[in-house]
Amino acid sequence: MEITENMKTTEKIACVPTAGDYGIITDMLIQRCLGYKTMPCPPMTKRTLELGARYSPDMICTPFKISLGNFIEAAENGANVIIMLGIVCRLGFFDILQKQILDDLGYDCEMLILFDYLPTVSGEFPTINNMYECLRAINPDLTKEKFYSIFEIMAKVTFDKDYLADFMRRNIAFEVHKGEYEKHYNDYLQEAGNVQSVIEAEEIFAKYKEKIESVAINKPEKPIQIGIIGEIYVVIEPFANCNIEKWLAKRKVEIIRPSDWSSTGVAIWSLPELIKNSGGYVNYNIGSTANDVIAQAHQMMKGGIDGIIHVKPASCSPEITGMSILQNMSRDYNIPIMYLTFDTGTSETGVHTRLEAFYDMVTMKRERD
Amino acid sequence: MKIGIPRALLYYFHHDLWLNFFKNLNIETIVSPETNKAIVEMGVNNSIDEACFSSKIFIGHVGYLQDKCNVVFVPRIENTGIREEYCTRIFGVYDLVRNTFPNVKCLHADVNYLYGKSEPGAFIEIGEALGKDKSESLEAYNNALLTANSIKEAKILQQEKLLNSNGTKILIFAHAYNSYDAAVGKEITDFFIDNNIKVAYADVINEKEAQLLTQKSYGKRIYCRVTAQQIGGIKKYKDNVDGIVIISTFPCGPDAIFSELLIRQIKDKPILNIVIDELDSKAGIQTRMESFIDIINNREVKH
Repeated sequence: MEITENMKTTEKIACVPTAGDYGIITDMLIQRCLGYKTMPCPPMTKRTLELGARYSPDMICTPFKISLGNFIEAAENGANVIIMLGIVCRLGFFDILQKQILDDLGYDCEMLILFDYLPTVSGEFPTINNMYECLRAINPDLTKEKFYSIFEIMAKVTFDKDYLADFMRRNIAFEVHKGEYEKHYNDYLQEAGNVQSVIEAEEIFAKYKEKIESVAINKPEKPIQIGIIGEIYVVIEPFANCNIEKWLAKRKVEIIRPSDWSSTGVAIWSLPELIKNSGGYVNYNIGSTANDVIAQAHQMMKGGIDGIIHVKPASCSPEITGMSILQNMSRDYNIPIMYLTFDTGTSETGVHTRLEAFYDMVTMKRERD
Repeated sequence: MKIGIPRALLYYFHHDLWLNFFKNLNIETIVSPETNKAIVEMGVNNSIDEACFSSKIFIGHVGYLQDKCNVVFVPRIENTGIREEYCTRIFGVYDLVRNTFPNVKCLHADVNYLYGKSEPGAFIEIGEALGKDKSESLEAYNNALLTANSIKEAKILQQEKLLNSNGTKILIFAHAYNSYDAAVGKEITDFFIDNNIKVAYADVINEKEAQLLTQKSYGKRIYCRVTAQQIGGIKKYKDNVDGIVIISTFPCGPDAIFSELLIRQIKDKPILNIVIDELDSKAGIQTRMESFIDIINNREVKH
């Protein structure tokens, strides 16, 4: 391996796996709380997937493979600290094996895990304090006040970003001048990454909210609505889900996608609420974000959505449990659900063919009813 | 009242406790037979195709029992404390059964220490559902626990004896519901025994001891309770055996990570990694086991 300029110095350059457009949030966390420089993962390509798949165990779920590919490419480009986020499911173990694999491959990286295990004790939100303790273990200089002020900004930007993204998803198919939404949204992300206070974040949000909400659209009164639910990584990372949102946006469809960091982040800690919203289909925690998915599906079906697409990485066991329940729900409400499983070998064309058939079916069902 | 107990998943961890508890309360139970072809077929037909094979087997056992008893015993255990979680499959199992067999009546209890639901509490709940009062259930539970613990200790002693004896020995790294199941691990262990190889299990170890051993290398990082115990077993018994056999079902999350980790970290013992699903040909696995036996024996000659 070539030794780059960055690796000779002891400066810490951190890399976090890509997860949708949340790079600005994780960068904020790493830069401001830990004081590391951050390096965005190189844009994902087929090579990322191939690297990830080659060095991962075959039974592991797709996020492991993709993030391993991310890390190898980042290490090639000179990152020396790799940061993984834990929180739910087996994500908290990923770094143990990924570190071993990177070591075996000869990359000299430090590996850190943030929030490897945050239990949901009695339905309480875990514990911003836990997060603080976890970060302070890495950076002893971090004071509580400083962490809370950073966390506030991060939370504010996450909620704002998710609001704008959700608004955009619902309307992007109907915009009159193509590309307007995306331009404003990308500008927002650019500016929001540098905010220093909640007030500043609010100002920027207000500015772009106005811009985005006033984009000219030509939306029918009752457009076809398609919901996207499923495992959160695959839902929010367009590269992992073969860009299904973009595909749908070209077809005059209103996309309803409730999973994002802000709503899922709040939802999974309020389990009793989720179980109440699932219409009696579930009684207990079934793991990871699957309860949230069931609750979302039930709300969508009660609202009379036209169709739902369920996405998950291969071998995701909470979602597989959830699928048995979704099948019953789909039958009871007579609303179609298409199940898509994504792995490193999934062909985009294949997925698009299935989407096309599903879209045709949903429109035909609408005309018939 | 007849209670059906599926011989799958949690059964293999707790059967001594469960069966003695019901026996102490004078309640009739029926345990489904060892997994056979019909049960596997029933499970496969009633599960999502991507579900793990162990969970399909469980569904098969529930399907077998549905018309042979009044209620099926489907408890769920989510955790036994902080950083001691079970697999999502195991804590999703009650909702899975309810949605797969809506007509099957389930006797169930919930163990979730983080939400204040303890194991004795769960047994009292079961007792209540069966019309027994609190003190009766508690007594039955305590007696059953004593019996179960003494059986467990005897097993550990027996295994330690086996490990200190002469002869070729292997260590099985697998969840109990895989290593003892007739459709998964039993054929494999039987094959080794038939070939005069002694078989020890990584999960037959004192729980506290296993936890300490695991924490020595990983701290409290491994919050999957079953796997943490097995890793403790590997640490303890590794030097007494000639080879390690990993058995897992497709697709198992914790196993995917930790079997790869073992293979990468243990350099001084031969390791055989067997992954089983409903399509496996037994002949292929047998060939692999035969060559593994040759490897172990050849190493012995060399040393």
